[in-house]
Amino acid sequence: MKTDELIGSLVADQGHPPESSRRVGAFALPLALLLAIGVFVVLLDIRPDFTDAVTSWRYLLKIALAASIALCGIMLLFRIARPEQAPAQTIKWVLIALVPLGLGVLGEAMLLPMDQWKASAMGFQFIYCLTLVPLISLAPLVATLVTLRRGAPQSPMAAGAIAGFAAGGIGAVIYALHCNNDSPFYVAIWYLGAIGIVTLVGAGIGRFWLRW
Amino acid sequence: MTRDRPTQTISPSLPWLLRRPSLIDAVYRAGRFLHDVTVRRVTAVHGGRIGELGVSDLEDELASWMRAAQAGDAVAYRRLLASLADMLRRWVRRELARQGYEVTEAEDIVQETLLAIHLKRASWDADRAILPWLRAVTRHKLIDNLRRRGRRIMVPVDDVLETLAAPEPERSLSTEALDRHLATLPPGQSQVVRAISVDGLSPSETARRFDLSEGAVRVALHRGLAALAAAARRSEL
Repeated sequence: MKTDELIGSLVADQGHPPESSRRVGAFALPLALLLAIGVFVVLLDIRPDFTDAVTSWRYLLKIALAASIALCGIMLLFRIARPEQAPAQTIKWVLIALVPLGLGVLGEAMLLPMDQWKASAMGFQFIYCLTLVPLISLAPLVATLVTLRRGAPQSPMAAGAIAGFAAGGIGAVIYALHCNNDSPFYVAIWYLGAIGIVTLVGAGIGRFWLRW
Repeated sequence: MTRDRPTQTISPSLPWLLRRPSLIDAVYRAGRFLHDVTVRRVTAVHGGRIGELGVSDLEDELASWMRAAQAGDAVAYRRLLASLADMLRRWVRRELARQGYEVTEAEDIVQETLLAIHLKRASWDADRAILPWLRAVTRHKLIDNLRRRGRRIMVPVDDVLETLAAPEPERSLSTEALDRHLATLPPGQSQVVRAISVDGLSPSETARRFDLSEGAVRVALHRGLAALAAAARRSEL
């Protein structure tokens, strides 16, 4: 096929321009959020002491940390979707997104007597956190991956990881409504662990599915 | 003036930690960056780096063609792709030569890159410079190709330089690679792509030839081109 002939067919196909990842994301992400909330409603309840909990700073901090991961993840999603963007530059910002959590851990380490550290870090049945956060994150993960597929990320694997990180953040925010382990220690270990699982899944899928 | 980095005049009455210019600078940069990320103005910097005269003319021209094309101007789109093909040919040849590959394979990469530019054109943000975007897409496809080609016999650079200097038989250049990939597509898609590209038919003529609706031809063309790119990506060279 001559290059000129190829150009002819590209011009003929120009009629319906593809959707940009921003437009797809603007549709897919809210939809996925609703689906994830649906999964939450079916499987879990908001913690019974919710009205008391919202007055405790630990609980608010937990929600804020999860929300900051989700928001950073979504911002980075649209950033890494652009081909000009070096993946390392985006991943650097993932680490910065975790700084508030680090500060929370430091604060907790200063406030809490050392003999209570282990109990608050292990919390109560962390296995639920490790399984339910990824489960709630499934719909958001599909949405973030679909969003990135419309983009042109330099590194499919790094892009998939960011998709997983953002989806895991969304899942963590929703799961936090149920979970009653509020220590930053617990968040740093188990929430981050759960988000890490989703991140790995995203990287694994992205490596193949986000190639272009 | 207020936008200058506050590195110079720092009051000695500040605490020791805050008196360190590098720290203030880092905080300032972080703040600026967060602002840029949220307000999406990072490539104002990228665009500025191009700087030289001539390059910015090229930037303006290509960007205006792409904008017109995205608004539905087929003539502008053809003009854009044709001049991109020439530019890409030069870029890719130079790059292949530098890395010690045969330049005869450049046209495969040019065609694959054009396909990628076409399929991913929505990932260019019209508020940003287009040249960095084009360079990034080209680089991505070049790396992708070189990786697939893997270990190939290297040719001495001297021969390559000669080839570079030789007059280019511009757009009549053809490759077999895409034809090979075309053959792997579902027959409905490959016959439509072939009719429009090789035979040069319009979508409506193609629709008449295969007794399809024009909409079906457009869908087959779109899917066919995407499948063509995917087949090229999967192919072992």
